[in-house]
Amino acid sequence: MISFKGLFAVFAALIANSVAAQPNHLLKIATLAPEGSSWADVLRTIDADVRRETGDNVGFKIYPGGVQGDEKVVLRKMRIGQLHGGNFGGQGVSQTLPDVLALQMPFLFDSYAEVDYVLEKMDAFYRQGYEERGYVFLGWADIGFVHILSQQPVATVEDMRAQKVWQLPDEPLTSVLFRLAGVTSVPLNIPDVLLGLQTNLIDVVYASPSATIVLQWFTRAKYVTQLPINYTLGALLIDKRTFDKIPAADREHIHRIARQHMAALNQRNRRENDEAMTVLQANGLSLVEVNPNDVETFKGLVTSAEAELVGQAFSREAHEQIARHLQDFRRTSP
Amino acid sequence: MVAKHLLTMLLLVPLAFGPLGCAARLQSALVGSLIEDVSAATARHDDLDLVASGVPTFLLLLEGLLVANPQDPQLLLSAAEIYTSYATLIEVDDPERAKHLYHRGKVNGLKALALRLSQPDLLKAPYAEFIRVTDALDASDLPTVFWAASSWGAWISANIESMAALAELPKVIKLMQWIVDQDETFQYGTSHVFLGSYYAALPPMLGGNPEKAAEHFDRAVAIGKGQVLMVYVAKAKFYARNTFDRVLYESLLNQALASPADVVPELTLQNIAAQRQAQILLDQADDFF
Repeated sequence: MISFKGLFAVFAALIANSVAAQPNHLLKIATLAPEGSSWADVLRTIDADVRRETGDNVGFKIYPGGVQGDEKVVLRKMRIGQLHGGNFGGQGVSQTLPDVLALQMPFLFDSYAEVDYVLEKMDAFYRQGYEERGYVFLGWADIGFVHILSQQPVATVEDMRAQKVWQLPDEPLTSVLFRLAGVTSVPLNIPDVLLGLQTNLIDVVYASPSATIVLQWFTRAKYVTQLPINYTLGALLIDKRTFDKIPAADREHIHRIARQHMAALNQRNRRENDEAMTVLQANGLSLVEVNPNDVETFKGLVTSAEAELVGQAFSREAHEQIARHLQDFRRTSP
Repeated sequence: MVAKHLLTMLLLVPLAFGPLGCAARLQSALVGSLIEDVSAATARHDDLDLVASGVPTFLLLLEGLLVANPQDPQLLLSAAEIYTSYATLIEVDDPERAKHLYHRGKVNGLKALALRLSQPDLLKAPYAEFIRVTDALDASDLPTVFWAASSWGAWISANIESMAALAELPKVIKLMQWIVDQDETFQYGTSHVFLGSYYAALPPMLGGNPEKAAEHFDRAVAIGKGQVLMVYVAKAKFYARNTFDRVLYESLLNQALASPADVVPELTLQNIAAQRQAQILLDQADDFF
């Protein structure tokens, strides 16, 4: 009576719907995030609203779970028109627009309030940056503040030097920072990090709290440092040539709907990160406090790295605009 | 969201309504025998809807027996199994209610497992300590570990948006791996199906491993000798879909549909469920590829 008949009804409706309502503009969107995750869910929500508001003129076909390949492959498929967009959460975001790295500098933001203020003020800047490179920007996807997980406590730069620190290969910010700090880093791709921790190839890793749980890195670490390092974010991007073929009124609908739902995604991701910090401690990780003097030492390193990074890894213009908005915010909301 | 429920179902239906195993050592031998007989008859039944509508009555009977015998390992395991299986059946219609039932399944399963351990607190300990749980276990614990891990994994799957639940997943994987290491043929290789689905469901960037997934599914296929149809469905749903292999996807699902469901009588019910899902997944191929 229950279950299976209900199940069939749901699927029958889904199948009927997808056959009846093949939209005139079908945007194929990929993401690494698996089905059921916040990143995949938001695409489904946007799709449902876009279909409704455009009278089924526009719809998404969603490829979750990395079935279309990693972000490099997705970007290549977008260039040749096999795919039309992606919800990027890895290096795809900065590879398409290096100025995004200016937002991800360590110790730039002290709070989400600062993040939200600056992202709002920089909206036109990044929108235009992506547009010039052939992408339509539909919104940021919050990944969160990166934290350090380690085998021995990390409260100072010296603590980092005494351990083997993981490095994401070809990541420009950590390359410079670790060199200036005199830290021994071991480059490993993300799929190899868990094994690296298990075999003591590395002792120190860093990621958003929820990522350390999804990737199971927390099972091989003893400490988490209570110091938000840098804010990281992804973006929902669509190929501009494809997007421009959509009628202007429908493009407006898409922008509005995406903005609304990406904001909700960010709230959900922030809640997950807050919960994850608690869960890490519940799973036996000890919280390491950093005293204010040592925070200043960390920040000093970043300042000295700026000379190499600004104008190289990202533009001086992006860096200075962000700094100005931050100053404004801190002046008006002490 | 529908897909997420399907994921839960696929992870679980192979586990659903299996035979309950050795005779229950109950105060009332008559009741113990009744539970065993009903379970065996259920697994051999060919009408899913009839079984589903009968389960709540059976569960209330079990709850009554648990009041009188709260430490009875077989009753605890039966409760873990049946709550979990029933939750998969109602989840699409009532996910919130299903979550409560999954929770009951998990609690009963972990109670049963705790009874087998000299240090039951290890179950709640951080992962680095938890892994010592299996030191004290041997082959006679296989049914307990299997149903505890299955109900635990099902509860996680239904609460996948919770960081606390997700953080428990490595423990379930550890238990499933232990089963494979002890006796990979236990419950027709279902632990291989669980591990294969897990490694296939995530991209490598997020901890998945398609090669490992393929190895687990291949072992499950070999162990099942073509008689456990859910193996094909799970391999199609998780492995073929996530490696974007439509030819393999369709051939696996067609194989499930073309195979007889009742070669092994006790697999009849779950094979019928597998075939229903195979047809649904086949019809959805255009949505995925």
